[in-house]
Amino acid sequence: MKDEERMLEWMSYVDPALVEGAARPRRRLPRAARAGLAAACLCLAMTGSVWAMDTLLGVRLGETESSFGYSAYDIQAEVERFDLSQFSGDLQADLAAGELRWAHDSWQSALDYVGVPLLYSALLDEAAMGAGMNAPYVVDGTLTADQERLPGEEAGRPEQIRLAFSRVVDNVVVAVYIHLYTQYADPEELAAGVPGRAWIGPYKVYREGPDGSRTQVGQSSVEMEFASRGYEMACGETATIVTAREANGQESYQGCFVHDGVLYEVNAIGLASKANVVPDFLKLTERLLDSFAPPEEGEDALSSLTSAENLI
Amino acid sequence: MTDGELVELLWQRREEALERVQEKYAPWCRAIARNILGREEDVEECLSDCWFQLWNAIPPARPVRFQGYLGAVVRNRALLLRKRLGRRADTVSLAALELADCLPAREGPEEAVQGEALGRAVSQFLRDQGEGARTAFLRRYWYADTVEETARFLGWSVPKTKSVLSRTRKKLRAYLEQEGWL
Repeated sequence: MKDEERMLEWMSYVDPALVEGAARPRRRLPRAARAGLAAACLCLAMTGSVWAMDTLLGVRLGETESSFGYSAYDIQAEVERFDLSQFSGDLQADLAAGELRWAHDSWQSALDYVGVPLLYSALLDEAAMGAGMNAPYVVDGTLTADQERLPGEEAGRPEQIRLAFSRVVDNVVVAVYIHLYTQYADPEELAAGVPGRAWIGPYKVYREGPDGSRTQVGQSSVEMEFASRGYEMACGETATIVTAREANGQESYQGCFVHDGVLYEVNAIGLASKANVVPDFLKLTERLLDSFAPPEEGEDALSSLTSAENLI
Repeated sequence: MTDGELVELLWQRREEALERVQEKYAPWCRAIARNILGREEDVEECLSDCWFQLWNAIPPARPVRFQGYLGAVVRNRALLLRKRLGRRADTVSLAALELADCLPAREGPEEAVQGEALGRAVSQFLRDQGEGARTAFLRRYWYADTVEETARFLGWSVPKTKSVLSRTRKKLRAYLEQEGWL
């Protein structure tokens, strides 16, 4: 039997009670009640600490979920929905023709193609490209990271124009995403939150033997605790650094900020190659955030931030 | 008429039983069949088969959840007809492809037994999800609604619906791995 047919038939074994439960449309709360709920959530957020108040109007940690096999969080950010006419003529024309020019050899090329002013990071621009990248800068018009574009979807109406690039900074692979949401993005959806990061598991844990062989010694879950704090960037914006803490105490970080309605996302993913000294990922994330500046201020902002001692 | 009363009519072999079932559930059954088969003449053939199958199945069956039972009869009949006729509604193929990554790809004589056990596992997973995610998943992968139809059913935007479906599939895969299915 073909896989496709098997999938369809196995779904037939789902509990009939669940099938019945999905037979009738859900009733949504009236708009006034939903607005009341949103206001209540805002009040709860405002009873947090002072630094939480600083980030309330910028970027904040949204909904989180964590289980043995799946953990994720959303980011809530005050972003603008750009009209397509605000992007470059070339990008608009390519969108209308159904295909974006996605590969760009330089920051300037990508910037000209997007057509919307963006903050620049000389530190990242001048760093080596991350492995697996096909071009220094990639521009795509897709849905957010964990959504999928299905066949037959309407072309030329992306929810966001996204600029993505990967670099290696101090032996750490860094992934950067710059999100420009468009008029086609659902405002309620944006208000509710965009996907931050997700972890899927469980994953197997191995021990490497003296002969280089690997033996599985256990299985780890991806249950995470999420927390966030504000960070005052060198350019004056306030970022939010989200900390994801695993059960074994290991932490990873994502820095997010909004500038002129554009959402920037900086992720220090992991070591590019084995090393005896592991950098402080949190300090690196802060350094990366500080490296962003309007182009004319790029050099001044960078000059005090290039010392390797800043890592530790 | 309640579902319990419909089952009772069938048990009593009353001629009006099928008429009452169709009065209550024909549009719903037709929608399930149409999503899988596409063509109206195939839908009609499927439903005719289903009423006949229902009459023969009850008794001895006495389903606690009659609507769900009926839905499964229609769905299975439609899938069989689809295979026999070689007709494919695009949305069904797409839905199956989306799910392909989540479910085990084993083959063999034990498949039918595995199917029921897998169904129980998937059912437990769905019970642990929020109502919205559970409904979205079932509308897309059991009822074979398109993503747009699923969004409309829930009162959601299409992007939110896609996001929820994607996350739920990933969670299902992780759950089935944890349970040893993958």
